[in-house]
Amino acid sequence: MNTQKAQPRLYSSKESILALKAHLSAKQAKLPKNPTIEDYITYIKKLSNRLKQGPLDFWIPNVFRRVIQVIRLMSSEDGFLPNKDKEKNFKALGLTIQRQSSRSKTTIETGPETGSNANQQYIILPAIEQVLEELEAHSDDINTFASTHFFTNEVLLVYEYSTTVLNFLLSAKKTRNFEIIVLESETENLGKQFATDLGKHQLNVTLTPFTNAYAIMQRVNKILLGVDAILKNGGLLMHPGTYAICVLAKQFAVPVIVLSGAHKLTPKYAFDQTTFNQLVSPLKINPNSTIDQMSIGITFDYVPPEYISLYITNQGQYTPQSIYQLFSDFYNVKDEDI
Amino acid sequence: MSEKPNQQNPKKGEPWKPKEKFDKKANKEKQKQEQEQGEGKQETNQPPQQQNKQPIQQQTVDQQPTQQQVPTNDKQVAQTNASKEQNKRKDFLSHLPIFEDYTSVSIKTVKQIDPLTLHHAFIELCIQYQNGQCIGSTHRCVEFLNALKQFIRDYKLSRQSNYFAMAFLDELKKIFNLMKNFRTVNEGMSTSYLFIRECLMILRDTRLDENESKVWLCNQIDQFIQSKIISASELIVKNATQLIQEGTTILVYARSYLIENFIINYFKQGKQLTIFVVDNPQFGEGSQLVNRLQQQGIPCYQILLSHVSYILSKVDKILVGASSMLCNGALVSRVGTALLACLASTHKIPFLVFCESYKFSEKSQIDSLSWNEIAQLEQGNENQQYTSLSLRYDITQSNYINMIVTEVGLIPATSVKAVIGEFKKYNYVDAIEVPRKEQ
Repeated sequence: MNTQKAQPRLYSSKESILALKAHLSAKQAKLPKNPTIEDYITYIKKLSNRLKQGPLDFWIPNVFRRVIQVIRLMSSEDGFLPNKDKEKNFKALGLTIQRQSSRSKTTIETGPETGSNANQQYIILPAIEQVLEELEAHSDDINTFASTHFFTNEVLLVYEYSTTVLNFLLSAKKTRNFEIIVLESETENLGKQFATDLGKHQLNVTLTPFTNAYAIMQRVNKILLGVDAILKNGGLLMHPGTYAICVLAKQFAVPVIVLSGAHKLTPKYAFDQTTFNQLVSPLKINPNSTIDQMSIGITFDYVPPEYISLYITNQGQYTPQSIYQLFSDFYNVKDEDI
Repeated sequence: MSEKPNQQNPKKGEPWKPKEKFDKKANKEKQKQEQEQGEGKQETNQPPQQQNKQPIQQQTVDQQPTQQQVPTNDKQVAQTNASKEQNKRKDFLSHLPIFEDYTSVSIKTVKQIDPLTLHHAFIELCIQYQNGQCIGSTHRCVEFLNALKQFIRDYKLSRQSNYFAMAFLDELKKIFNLMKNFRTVNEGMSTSYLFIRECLMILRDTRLDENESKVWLCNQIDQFIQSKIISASELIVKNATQLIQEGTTILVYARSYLIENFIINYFKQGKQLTIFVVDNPQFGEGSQLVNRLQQQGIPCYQILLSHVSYILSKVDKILVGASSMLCNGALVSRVGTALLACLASTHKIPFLVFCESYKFSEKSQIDSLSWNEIAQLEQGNENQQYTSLSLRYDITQSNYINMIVTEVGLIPATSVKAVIGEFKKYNYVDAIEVPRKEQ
């Protein structure tokens, strides 16, 4: 039973992969005796349901989807299996693995049949490792595009804290000179933290409250945004307030660039602000709220794809019209119901 | 210590040169000369030093100063450092005034105003402006006029000037110059200043003595407040009540005297509204409005400006107050209003402005950065590696405004110029009654 709590997620993307690893190697792993690839896949899907923090948790299902996709890709290729039968049928593959009797090194102590050990060793664990590597290196891949989009003495606008944007700016600093304006939201101190972190690296940083966005916008050349989730139509779920910034940017014809690792791709659709959203506790906004003077606060802002100019991911650069291609490479259509 | 060739006593026969302090051009030239001389002397000094002493000096672009050049170079470096620190704060906003913090004691000493003539009411007012107790255009204007009335009553004519009017005009100018050090003078205060000046011109032509003049002037100020602010507010509320049907959902930004009156009046008539109040925590005005409504027993929702996108689909109208309306139809209001106007136009929500006519201005402005006021509400750390910026005002363009509700009627944003033209015939207010001596 999923209880809907507005809590910070317990698992980040990286932690959820490590959790998956730990679950697979645990004694209580509820795998059938001779697990096939399909068994593993269903197990991973069930695990994502269990670990998910609510219907608005996209990161755990995304990561697990990616793991499943890599598993599918890896198991459809040859060369990983000691058995050299070149059958490319999925199920036949599973059967040939089961027929193996050679013992191979495993890390699993449950003691299922050796076939599954080979499976796990040659497919599952490498798949997990690959996804983990992608995650850890996503920032470096994004930073390769760092200096291609800026000219000298540009003024950039950023909003609230984003580690992806921070790394991007630090690597762009080596080749370009620019000025940064940080917008801070009214409630949390993330904006201030971002400004101090940027300032430590000798960047020219100005911190403004969110209300000044219109006044400042005419000075801004580009906007860089970090994102919480990229939806399949190109829409974005982001920190509340970004929709207003994107509307302003369209009025002033300022390009909006979205930076994100591919692990934030979510194969779902949204239409308005209420499709994926959650109200937060009124006391967070205003500690003096009463029933009559209720404070309203939300978790996400939905930004339609028309407001974005470019998506820069670790798999490449995309426009809103072409970002769907990335989904078909990155995920499998069968897994979209996780 | 420093050898400045210009400070040598002028020899006989040489033309007299003005002192350094007053001759800015000469100072600039002198600095240039010193720089050139410094470079020239270093070039000439190096070869003899190389002969005499072992060369320690490096031949870099910033050549190390010789003993003779040390004091002048240091002074130049110190000058540039000081000027850099003053302008270091804002590169693109260095044209905007920055207000320093004053205490009541320092006001008198620093500002070189004779402490005997500076009234305590104004000192209190300035401090209230500074620490944010008195914000909002109408509130500031009314408080200013009240302080002025108190000043008038306590004002005593000095023996030298026989005419109350001209002497008081000078005092008024001094007061205004003082006010400009704390907050910029807003449009309402400017209009009241023009009004009082007109009254004083009329007084100058009559032969009233001091006490009668004071009484008459105080009465005129009361009439101004009554007709331009209080009656205007009633008329505006009446006009607006026709516009807004019962049961609509309205969105209100920060706190405005007119909108507060309108909501309270509306509920007193027994009608219902759903109210969303957008708060700006920086100035705390939204929560002030919420508290006021709570005292009257009016329920409302509170929301932050960044979360507004969520409820825009549910809102029917947006109501906003004004600091002033400009001649080109632009609205000067609390910062954040323009953002709300932009969102409203995207979602096709009517955007209404409530503004009295005394706030109409003859200025024109198209963007928010060419003139503004910087708010310094938080004390920044000295170690912080970023500069913080917060503005007070915002310019909303006329194409975002659907209608302005004033006491002269409901006008579109582009008609502001016509209304100003009408008022000019009457010196910004109704015809002023000429005082007569009471017998």
